[in-house]
Amino acid sequence: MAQLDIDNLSVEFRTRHGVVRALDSVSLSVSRGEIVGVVGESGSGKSVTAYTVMGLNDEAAQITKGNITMGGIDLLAARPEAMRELRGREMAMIFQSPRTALNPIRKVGKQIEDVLQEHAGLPSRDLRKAAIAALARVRIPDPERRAEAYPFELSGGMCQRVMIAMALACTPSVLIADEPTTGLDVTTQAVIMDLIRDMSRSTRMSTLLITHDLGLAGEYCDRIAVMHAGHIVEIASTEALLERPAHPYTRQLLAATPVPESRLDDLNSIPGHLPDLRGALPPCRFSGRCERRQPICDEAALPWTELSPAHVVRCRFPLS
Amino acid sequence: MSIVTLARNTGYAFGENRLTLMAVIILAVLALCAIFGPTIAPYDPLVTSATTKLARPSALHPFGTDALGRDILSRVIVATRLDLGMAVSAVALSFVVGLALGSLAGYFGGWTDRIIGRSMDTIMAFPLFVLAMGIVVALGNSVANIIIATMIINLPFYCRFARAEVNVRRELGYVEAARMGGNGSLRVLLSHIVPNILPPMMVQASLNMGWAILNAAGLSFIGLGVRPPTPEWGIMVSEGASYIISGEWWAFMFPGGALVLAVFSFNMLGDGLRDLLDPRKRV
Amino acid sequence: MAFVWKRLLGTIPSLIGVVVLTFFISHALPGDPAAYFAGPAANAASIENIRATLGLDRPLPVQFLHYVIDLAQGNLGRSLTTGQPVLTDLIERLPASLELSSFALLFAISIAIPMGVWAATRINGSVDHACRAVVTVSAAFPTFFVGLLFVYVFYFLLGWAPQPLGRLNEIAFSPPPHVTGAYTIDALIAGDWPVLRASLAQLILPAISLGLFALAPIARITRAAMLEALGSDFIRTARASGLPARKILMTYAFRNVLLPVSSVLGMVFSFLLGSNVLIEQVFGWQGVGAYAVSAVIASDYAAVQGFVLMMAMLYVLLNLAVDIFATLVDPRVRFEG
Ligand SMILES: Nc1ncnc2c1ncn2[C@@H]1O[C@H](COP(=O)(O)OP(=O)(O)O)[C@@H](O)[C@H]1O
Ligand code: SF4
Ligand SMILES: [Mg+2]
Repeated sequence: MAQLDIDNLSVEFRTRHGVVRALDSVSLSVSRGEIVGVVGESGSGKSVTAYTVMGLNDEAAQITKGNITMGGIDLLAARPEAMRELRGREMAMIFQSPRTALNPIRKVGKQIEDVLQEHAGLPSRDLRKAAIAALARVRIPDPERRAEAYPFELSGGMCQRVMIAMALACTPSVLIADEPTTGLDVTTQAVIMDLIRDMSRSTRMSTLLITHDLGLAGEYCDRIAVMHAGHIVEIASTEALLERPAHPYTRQLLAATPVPESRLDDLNSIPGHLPDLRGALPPCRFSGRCERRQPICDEAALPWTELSPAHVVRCRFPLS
Repeated sequence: MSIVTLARNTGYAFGENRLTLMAVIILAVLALCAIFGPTIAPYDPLVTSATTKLARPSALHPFGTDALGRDILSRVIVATRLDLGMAVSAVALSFVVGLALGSLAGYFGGWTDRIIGRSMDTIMAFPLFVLAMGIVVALGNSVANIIIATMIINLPFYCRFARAEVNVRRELGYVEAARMGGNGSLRVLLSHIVPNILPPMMVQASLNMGWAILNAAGLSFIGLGVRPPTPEWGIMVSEGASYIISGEWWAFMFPGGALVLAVFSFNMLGDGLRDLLDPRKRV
Repeated sequence: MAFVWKRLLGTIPSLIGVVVLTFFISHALPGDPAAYFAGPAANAASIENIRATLGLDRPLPVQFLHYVIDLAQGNLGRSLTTGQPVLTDLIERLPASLELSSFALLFAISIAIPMGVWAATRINGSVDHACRAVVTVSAAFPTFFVGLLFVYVFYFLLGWAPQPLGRLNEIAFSPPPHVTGAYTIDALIAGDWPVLRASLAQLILPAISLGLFALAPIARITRAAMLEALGSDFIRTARASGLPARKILMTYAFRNVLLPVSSVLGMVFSFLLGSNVLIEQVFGWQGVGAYAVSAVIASDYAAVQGFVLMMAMLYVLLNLAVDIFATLVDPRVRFEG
């Protein structure tokens, strides 16, 4: 059984302007030591998926159906206090804009100590050493000195390493990285991603890598799930997905993804935009932007098509 | 701002926000009192009476009478002109002077800016009410000097506001264009910049009115400016204060209530105006 | 500690500004201090005479020099009403005012901050509404009027408070031995419980009426800053790290609120020092404010100017303290210098 298993999950937000159906029947699993990418445009529901797993959704969120288990624990049935104890110890999350994601007026070493103190069961005199060890593990040079720094004294890349050190301080079994390199420069991006991959491999941690950059996911993930408007539309091994994309949306994403030698003006942006998640939605939420759409696409329930046991697509007329 | 949004915001300010409407009505009543005060007051506010000293509120004297037997309702009504007059003049003066100084500082920068800025910082280095006391005492104890003192302690807010606004607008395209077109500095400032910063400054001014009223009343409460027997809310509260410990509440309560009503209405009007101009700042 | 020195140096321009403006107010404005000093019975000749003895006939720069020299020697002139040097008068009364203002501030902070925090964690809850009500009321009510309302309600109607006539009922009690000059503290030092009780009883109403107005801006900014902090990225990180709710609220969110709160303290102090005058007047509190008011009524020129100068100096020092506090709270401020 997979370490992290999301099964048929639907999430809605009750807002003043209507019910936003942010996730619909999302299923996804991550095995031990595996890195699974979740890719899609901004607004497609990637973060909501992550927050739902972590139990961090705001009060407007309602889980209308589905299941999430981690290491056999039913996360949706867990009491809030139990969830809090799992966060930071068994499952951790890192975010984009690391410089604002750290407390601006607390030394970074202290922030790691806070997590260790809560979850590691260390005596307080050992906290500092453990925090410095955590910083050293993410290859921060001169960790003793860096532990004394405030976030504003560190670069974005360095802050993200601190975030990773903090997330991994208690060696969680699941890591969710939500756009961890957005906003960092290309070199730093590679350094951070290499670090995440190495840590996942060495601790056999299940990693969910959320990104809007299919190129990045292609480089670091074992499998990739493509998300669109609250649906997962395709899941495949990285190789299969990049070489034989089956969903029209995946193909458009690929076309919009810069390869190293492409120039900015070659970029195809994806035509159309995400449907409004508040109104009535067709079975295929992509149909409004799809060139292959047929009348039946908007009529009957949409089945999964299995191209191979590890390659499924949610489209009536997948590309071959 | 388009007509539609203006209309929608007006709808907000008056419809959803009943308080603004109420404030406007109260201010209209106060304005009537200020203009026609002596005519509508039931009694002469200065006439004393030995037989009706400290009479409780009654049909004859709805707000009661004070220690000299004067009708408090009449005094409260007649005082409106002086109280609002002091505040309005002080705010108008700070508005004009602050706008002028701030525009010069923002437009010319350099030394002009530094000198004006330093002066404003110096004013702000004082607790403002205390500074106003010092100024009135130094200038001489009169109503005009209360107005001047209130003007001075308000000045930094207008000046800084105008300076910041001018500074931003100085670099804008249409201003550049006007300058290129051979217009003199003063002309550019007056015809292209100042008109645009007037509306936000008006909001500032209406929000400031309540504070100015409180300041002027505070000064007269401690015996500055207005002299007895002139009816004025602050001094009336001060005169009524002596009778509280023996339970004659009406002598201080009604003029104090008038103050609260006036300040509250100006604050609400200011909030309403701000919503009208800039709905984003709604809280 | 280098930053403390830097802040100290930073107050010098303010101090110079204060001295120059005070001088300007007292010597260069058209009001005629000589006429004041000469009193109502004076004729033109005696006014001229006084003008000369006060040095008011000399050129302004010379007067300024003398003014600064006098200040450096602590010479603020002599009070017409008490006949004592103004500085002596002020120093004698300052503890009473500081006692009142400190209690007011203490009251304000200890209510406003929990209130703001609570309001922010439960938007539109009852505390949030109370918070907004206090903010609206305090913006519309004159301090002196609220003080008087309190006297009417708590002394006359309810009889809970003692008669508002100063710092201690001196018929029933004698002041504690002078240590700090604040009766409550001195009584505490002397272990004199009845006097402590009695002086606290006198203090409560004026302190609360004064504090109410300091409360509003602090509560408002606490609420706003707390809301912002709670919605910030680093709180999300703290929650994702499974930190306990208490720690998130206090160590993470609340400490980040202290900087914005300290930024309104300057305004709060300005307000406290000004309103202190009015409240002392209402409650017969024998502090520097009441002294200044009697000086105003008696046209005791030197006393008023001395009071203004002292309050300004005090205000500059308080702002310095706020600055240093901000620097201690927030390392970023320290860095910017
Ligand atoms: N708190 C919320 N209230 C209402 N709608 C929300 C909330 N959070 C997210 N959504 C909606 O859910 C959808 C998915 O958002 P998100 O998961 O943040 O997208 P992304 O893929 O960019 O991470 C969006 O349509 C967004 O508007
Ligand atoms: S189901 Fe139809 S509309 Fe949807 S993606 Fe496939 S072809 Fe396009
Ligand atoms: Mg996102």
